[in-house]
Amino acid sequence: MGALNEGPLQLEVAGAGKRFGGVIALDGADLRLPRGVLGALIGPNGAGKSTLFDVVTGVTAPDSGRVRVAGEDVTGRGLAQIALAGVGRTFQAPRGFHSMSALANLMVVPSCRGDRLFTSLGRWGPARRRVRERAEAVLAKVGLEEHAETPYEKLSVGQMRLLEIGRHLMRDVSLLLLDEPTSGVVPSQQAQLGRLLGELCDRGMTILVVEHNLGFVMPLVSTVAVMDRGRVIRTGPPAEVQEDPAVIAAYLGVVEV
Amino acid sequence: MVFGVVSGSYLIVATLGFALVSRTEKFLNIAHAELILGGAFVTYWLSVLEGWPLALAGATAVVAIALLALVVGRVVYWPMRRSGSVVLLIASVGVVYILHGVLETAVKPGVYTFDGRDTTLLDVGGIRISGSDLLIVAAAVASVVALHLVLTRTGLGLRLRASASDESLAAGRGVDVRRVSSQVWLMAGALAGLAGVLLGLRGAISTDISFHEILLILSVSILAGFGSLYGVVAAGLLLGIVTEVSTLVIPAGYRTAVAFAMVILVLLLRPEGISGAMVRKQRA
Amino acid sequence: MTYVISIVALASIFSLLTLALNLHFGLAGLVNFGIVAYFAIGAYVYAIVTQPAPGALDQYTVGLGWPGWAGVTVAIVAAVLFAAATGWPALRLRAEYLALATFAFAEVLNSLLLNVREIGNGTRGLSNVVPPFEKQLPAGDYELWFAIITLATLVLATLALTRLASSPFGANLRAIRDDELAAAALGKPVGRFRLEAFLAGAALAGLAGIFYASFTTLVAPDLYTADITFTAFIALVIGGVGSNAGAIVGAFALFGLEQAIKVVPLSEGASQLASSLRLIPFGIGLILMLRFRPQGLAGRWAH
Repeated sequence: MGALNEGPLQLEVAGAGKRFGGVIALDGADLRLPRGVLGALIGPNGAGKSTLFDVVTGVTAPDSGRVRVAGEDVTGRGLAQIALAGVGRTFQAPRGFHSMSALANLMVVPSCRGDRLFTSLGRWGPARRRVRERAEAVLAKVGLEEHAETPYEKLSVGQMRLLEIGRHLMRDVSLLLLDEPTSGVVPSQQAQLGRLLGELCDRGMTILVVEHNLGFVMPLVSTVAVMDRGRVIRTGPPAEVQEDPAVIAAYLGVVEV
Repeated sequence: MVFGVVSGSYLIVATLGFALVSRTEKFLNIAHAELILGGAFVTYWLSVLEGWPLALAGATAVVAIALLALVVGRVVYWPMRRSGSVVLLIASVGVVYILHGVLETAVKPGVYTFDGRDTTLLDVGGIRISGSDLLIVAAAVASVVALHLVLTRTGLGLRLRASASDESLAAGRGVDVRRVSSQVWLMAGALAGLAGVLLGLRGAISTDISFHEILLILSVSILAGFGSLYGVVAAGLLLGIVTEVSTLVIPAGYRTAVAFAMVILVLLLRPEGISGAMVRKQRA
Repeated sequence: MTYVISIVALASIFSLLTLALNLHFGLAGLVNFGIVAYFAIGAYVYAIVTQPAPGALDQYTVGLGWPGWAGVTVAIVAAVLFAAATGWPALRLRAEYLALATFAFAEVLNSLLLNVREIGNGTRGLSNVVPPFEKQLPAGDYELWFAIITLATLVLATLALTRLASSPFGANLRAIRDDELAAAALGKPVGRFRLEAFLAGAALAGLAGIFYASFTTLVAPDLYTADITFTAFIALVIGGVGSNAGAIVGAFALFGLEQAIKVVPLSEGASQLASSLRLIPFGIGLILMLRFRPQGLAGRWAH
């Protein structure tokens, strides 16, 4: 994002506009996220961060503007379709499959022999076992290996969020969009989350995090975009953005470091 | 056409109580038609079998059904209010079975009519209409006006609208949500009881018609869009007129099917109904 | 003794229907208030295909007189086609509205069967319906063998459904039921999975309808009313939503009781009274279960 030319763009939003009834949620928002970057999207409440996420991930279609993922124009496509284009998104309130265990939550993700009606009566044992092994590995990666059989409803909020990310790691995702991942999470698990994001980014994942918890996100990311009233008003490295008077004016948040 | 308005008036009264509950308690209480049937039979029992004057019998029925609705609302639905609209919908099936079972056991199969229905045709400004029919239209007008006044002018109305939009917020502001809910049930029950009286005024009653009635009520509600009480007025009149007019072209047996087919079309093409409410799933 | 056999046969038939409902509602989370429609279509199409051509006194127009197995195939295909046609638009509606839409479709179908005499003789219905395996059964113990075949079908269906539920497909259905948005965010084709489950359930319901038609030897609109759908729902909730065993237990209890009331000789008045009275404990049982033990007697429903 910003002036530095950091290589090919994983995500590009150009002039996105969206209004809901009388309310203008997005007013020509521009965002450019290079590949392999860990970035933050911050801004005061009502700035349009979640709407921007919704537009990028296909939960709503923008009224104007374009969205490109890895060069491909995905404007107006639906949530599932954009997910298949390699985009993974978590939600403000953690979402998951509450009738299953943590491991089962992961196992259900990839396509597998036996996952359609007609093949469900056939032989899916070996394929399922392979999926299980993969799921166990991912579970370990997100640090939840002790909770494989824990029912989803018994997990803490932080664990649910880690699991949500884990689900996306079970498939082909190159762009991860996290919506307030530390909300409701205890500090020790926040640290765990931060480490995980850093590792993923080192391996080439592009990550964009919406956060109010500046203490968590500022030390973690290499670039920050600030939104206010439906537009991105400033982008750049965390240190510069924090000092910017326009940002401080728009955003009366106190930075807790 | 005139009969369409009468028909529509009845539908309005029948559906208003249902729509009220769907908006404030947030589920579809398909037992509403059983309440209406109950109102009709209580009126019958008091006026024909016990010899009470029709007006008194009707008024008592309204009160009785209001109380019945309150009991059902408090005993069955209130404890389950957090379980979600699907569970409440299924629970209302249970209530249908209980109420219908009681009615069917108490009432011998057959067709019943009220005595003292005024069926002589009067000439009102060129339109030929019976006294009973006029009463039905008047009742509808009175119900709509009364409900409107309650919702907009009284403290209850404000509290009701507050808890309808956000229960925890309203509770936080000191609204006694439980009491509001009870009052809603009383009003919905009263409207159902009144609809039952009107049902008897319109024609003969029997125990099997509650099924048909709930289909009509659902049809009106879907056309009106589930959030809106004023849409019910428009939808009720529309459906009343359409079903009466269509009997000129289509044999009577098809009438419910026609109403329902219209409803299916509305549900599929424009589920917001006439006045707009969230029906479609979130886009995935 | 014949009472018991007929009760077991009928309860098995409705167990098939309740299992179909469990697939729709328990596994896939679809509130199908019109499942009787597929039941009816299976029955009617089977009757129409296997009936001889209409005679002078009949009002129906089509009777193909084909052998039983052809009838079974065509009937199940018909039920699936109807489900495809009605499900494709209706499945995208939110829960209560799906319930209403499916309910509406079932009522329109019932109305058509009643009023369009050319289909199936209106209220008189089509009679002399025989099961596809009629010729293979020894005439002496016909009812016993009918019950045995029905039970065997029930066992097979249960095995198949259990395998389906534990398969990756079953897991997908549960995921979509639990959180549709989260499933879509993973790229799952939610609509397609739902439709597959819907069609499978409809096929099973249609099969149950064929058995029912063979059992009663008559298809008439009054036999296929919403009461069947709702009794199946009550049976499922009491037995345990999500559990095949629960579905069967519930179906045997409720439908078995209904059949017992019809079959055991009581005076006319008592029979009538009993069939009205049974509505009350059904309703009370449903509400008590929902309130105090929502997972039913056997199930693991998470709502």
